[in-house]
Amino acid sequence: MSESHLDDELLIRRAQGGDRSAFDALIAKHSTRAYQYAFRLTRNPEEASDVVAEGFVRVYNAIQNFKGQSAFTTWLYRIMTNCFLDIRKKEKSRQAISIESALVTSEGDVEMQIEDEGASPHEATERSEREVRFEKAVAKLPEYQRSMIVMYHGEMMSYEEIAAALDLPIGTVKSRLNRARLTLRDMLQKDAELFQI
Amino acid sequence: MTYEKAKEYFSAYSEGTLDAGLAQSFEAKLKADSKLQAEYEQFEATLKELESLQFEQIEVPFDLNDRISAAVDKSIYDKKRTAQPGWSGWLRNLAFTGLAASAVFGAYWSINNSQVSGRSSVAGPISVAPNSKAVEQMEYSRTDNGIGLEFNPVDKHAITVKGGATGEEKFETSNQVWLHELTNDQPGAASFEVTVEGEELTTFVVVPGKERNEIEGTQGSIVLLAKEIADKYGIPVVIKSKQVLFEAAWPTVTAGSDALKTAQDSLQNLTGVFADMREGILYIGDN
Repeated sequence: MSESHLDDELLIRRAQGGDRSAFDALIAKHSTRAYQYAFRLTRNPEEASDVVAEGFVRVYNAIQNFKGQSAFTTWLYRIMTNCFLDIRKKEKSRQAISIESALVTSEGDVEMQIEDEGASPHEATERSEREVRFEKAVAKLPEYQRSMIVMYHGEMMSYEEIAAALDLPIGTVKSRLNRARLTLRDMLQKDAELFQI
Repeated sequence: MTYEKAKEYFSAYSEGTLDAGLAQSFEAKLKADSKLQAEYEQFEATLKELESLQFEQIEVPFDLNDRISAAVDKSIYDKKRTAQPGWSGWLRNLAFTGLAASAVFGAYWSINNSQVSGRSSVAGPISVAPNSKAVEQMEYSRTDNGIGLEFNPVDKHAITVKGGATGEEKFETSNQVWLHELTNDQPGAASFEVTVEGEELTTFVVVPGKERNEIEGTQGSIVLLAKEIADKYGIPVVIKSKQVLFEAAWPTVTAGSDALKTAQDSLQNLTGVFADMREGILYIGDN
């Protein structure tokens, strides 16, 4: 019988006591929301799945340390955000090494394929170009700004919840979110003709 | 109010959370500065665009939960694989199993429960893939914070851990690997009693405290000796002996002697009890 209907508190207590089925119930209960958040951050299904899987591994390994001082979802968002940032950091360093290696080779020109985080041409035909460009702009925001934008506007989290998830003062969250919106506005402004703003 | 300062208030003004005084200044600046006004209008348009984020349909992969579970299982497996190699063979050689039960364990616990301090915690990973090792024997490994317990049952078992700050904890195992960690944040050593349903002998596990102390006593039970040794040398001790509560006399510790030598010297008056050191853990058992 599914246990995903049970309270987080009870499931966590049982998971802390060694009950794997309770942990699986936590996964079943929160994986969809975690994935949606991860997808909004990454705009890539594979990467989003990686972020969520790695996030739950971290949750599993740290479940003993969870004291219930914040909601489980808040803790989960924090872990997912850290996973996303860590994975991105690793990718950047790997890409930097790869570029460096390419530069030192003497085998002629090296074609570098840089992934376009935007939608595929097929997706673009299905949705309006305006939406696609907007998503691209969000995807191009610096990671920290993007996570705040996604938390507030995508996940509908309050300033307080974001502050708890990112372990930041509320004032800092507000000012950073304002900066993120301004950055996004600047990006969209470059497409002013299309967006007509 | 400067142009840059006014931009800092875009969000607050738009949300209506700006103080009345600041809001007035902001509005005045907005009226006076057409560039700022244009930027604020663009900002509001951006906020409208952002509202669409919440309505975005995101398809969740059908196998997401399986992928998560697989990642968790792999993490547990990797941890176990990198853990110190088992001493179960050595432990089996000690013939810890098949010994007669000792009724004094319960009495010991009730007497000493108030003296112990420490914490018993389940070490994250608890149960993984169905156990194929089929070795129904508790194994121990040293961890950063104390000592790790691993049990590979082939069937359901109840495991009771008594001691430390958490008192008594009961666990039910299935045919999956069970992992547990005993830690101790207190200054002095803590002893735990680990009882596996179906086993005739209870294991005493002593986890050293945060402080190192010289051995002061000269006699007492094996558990008391183990606590003294644990605190002197900072090592955990595992005891599985019928004579765990019997009195032993231990000699004055001389400089240079180690935990094993101290234990061997101290236990020489107890027939059939011996000590051995393995992977940073001192084991005391019956021959």
